[in-house]
Amino acid sequence: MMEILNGLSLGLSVAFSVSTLFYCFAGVAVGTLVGVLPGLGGLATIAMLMPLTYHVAAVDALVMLSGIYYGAAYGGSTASILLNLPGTANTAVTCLDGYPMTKQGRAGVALFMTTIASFVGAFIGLVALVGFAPYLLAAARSFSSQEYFSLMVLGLIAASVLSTSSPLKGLAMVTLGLILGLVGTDITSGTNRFTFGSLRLYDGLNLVALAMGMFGVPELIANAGRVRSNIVDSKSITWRSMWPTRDDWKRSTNPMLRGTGIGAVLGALPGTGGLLASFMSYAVEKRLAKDPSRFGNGAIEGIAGPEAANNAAIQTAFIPTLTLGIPGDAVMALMMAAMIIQGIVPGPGLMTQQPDLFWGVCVSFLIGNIMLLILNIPLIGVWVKILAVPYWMLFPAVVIFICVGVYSINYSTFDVFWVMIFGFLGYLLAVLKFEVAPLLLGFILGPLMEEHLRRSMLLSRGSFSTFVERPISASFLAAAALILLWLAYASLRGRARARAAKQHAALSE
Amino acid sequence: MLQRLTTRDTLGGLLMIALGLAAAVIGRGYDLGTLRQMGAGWFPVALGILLAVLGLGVILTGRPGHSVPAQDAPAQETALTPETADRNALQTDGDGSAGPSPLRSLFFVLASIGAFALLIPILGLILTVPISVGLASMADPKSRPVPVLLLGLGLAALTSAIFVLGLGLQMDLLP
Repeated sequence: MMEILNGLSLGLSVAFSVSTLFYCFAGVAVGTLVGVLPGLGGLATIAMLMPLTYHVAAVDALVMLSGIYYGAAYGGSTASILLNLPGTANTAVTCLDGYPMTKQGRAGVALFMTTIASFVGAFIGLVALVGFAPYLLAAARSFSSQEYFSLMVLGLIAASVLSTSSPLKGLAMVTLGLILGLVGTDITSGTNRFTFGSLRLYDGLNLVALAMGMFGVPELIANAGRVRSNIVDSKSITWRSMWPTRDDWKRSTNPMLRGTGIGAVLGALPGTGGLLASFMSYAVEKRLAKDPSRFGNGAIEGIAGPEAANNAAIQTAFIPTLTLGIPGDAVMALMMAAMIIQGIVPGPGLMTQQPDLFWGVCVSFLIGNIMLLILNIPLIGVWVKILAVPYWMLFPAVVIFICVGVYSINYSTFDVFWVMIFGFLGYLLAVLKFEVAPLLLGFILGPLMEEHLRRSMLLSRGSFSTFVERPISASFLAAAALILLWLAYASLRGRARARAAKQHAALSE
Repeated sequence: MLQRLTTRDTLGGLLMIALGLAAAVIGRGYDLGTLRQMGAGWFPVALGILLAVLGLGVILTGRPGHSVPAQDAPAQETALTPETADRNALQTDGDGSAGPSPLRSLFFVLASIGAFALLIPILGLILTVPISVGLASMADPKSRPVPVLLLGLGLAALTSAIFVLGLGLQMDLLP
């Protein structure tokens, strides 16, 4: 306990420096902006702004990138509520009841309540992060290469099958990502792999070029030439229209807390992030409701719960990344890559060797969330106006920022060409309905996973049984196997059911 | 319709098989080592084979359309799964207007990036940005030259201010 208090006071001194406050504000403001704009996600934005952070201090870089991430979660609900277009995928569920509230003239209340719910979820998630991280860290100290390898297997399987629409395609993407991660010089043997004789590939593929090409370019192509139809009058959202009634408060309180609980747990687990948390919270609230028919027709519980869940999950997602060095989703993987580029090794050593960084970042989350409260309630009108920025201005600007950003890393036009190649590949994969988020996760974990595999096998003298002989490692692998078995079972049952339905239909004809 | 969607999984699976086999074959060229001391080739070969197997799986389980087995997920009652979100997101991309053909967008967005890469060492930031903006804007058939030119000049000024003046990056502004 004392440790946590000391940490927090250290964190306060770091987070309240002028530059950190500035980067925190820049992060949450940019995050809200891209969250509000449908079609521009947090992931692409973090990739886009990563080169910028190479030139600032490590704490500031991490504070800003995280700010974009949780800021986008606040902003995402705004577009969901006002336009029925999810600003980010995680806030898709907010459309279901948020947009009906807008049609009923209760947009202000919906915006207010999602902001409060986001804050409550984030705050409690943050408490869980600060409270649990030291304990997890103690457990992580006993981890050896076997545990790390098995945990990565679990994380990659969970991330690729639980939040994608096709588990096999998700697994294929993770595997492809792992392979792409191996490009370059193998540290152990010095062999240059998949470099095709190109000297510039010795350092591996450029992460930023890959992330921007795979995420940014397909998003741009999907959005080019789009015209926005329904624009909301920002004057219609006044202070008075935002204040929830006593009934609204009463209905929202418990869903918010339940949502926070769901989000905090799912966020910390590998592979299950805010998207799953928000959907699960919605399902739970609907099930618990006395009158489920209100859902989909502007039930405030249907926005308060999922928003709290999403934001709590975002905070607790930092737990495995910061303490174990194992990111649970693609955004966290990018965050980890940003740390590695700064020379910081996320993992058990982080908290003891660089406590100022760990605690500074944690305290900045609190400050950032308070900033978001201000940005999203009194200043909501500004964001509503931004929804009116036309796409023909937006998408060329994004292309330019991608190009300049990638070029600025190494002043290398080679890297910019790679954005083109990855952009094409990303587009192709999108057309074929492969989701690229697991690929990014695999790409970042690839070299790490190979290293732990090699080390484990060396320790065990070439016996794979070492992974199941060690209890912690075995339980990770068992969890991974359970996920796969459950999916296979669900898939077979679904097929059998579909066949039965078809036969039934044929018979009745 | 049904036929086309099945083909999509087939094509995707074939792509994965091709990539997986390529990785395995190339990886075979590196030292495989032993299980105790894995060489540079072991992991790539293993992953390549795994990818090819997964690709085969994608083809064999290829489904027409979106009827995904995961509909047996716990969220079934509300008919809410991440796929619904996926579909919503897709609608966001597709609907709202009759957008230009995606191939046209693809071509001009990639061309804009390529032009940037080719021209930035020669022309400098201030001239390259408007050219790239112009190319990117061609993705939208409704774009008009004058506003696009103004946008290009504005972005040239903005990026020069942020990256060169603000962050002090070593980029040439003019030829």
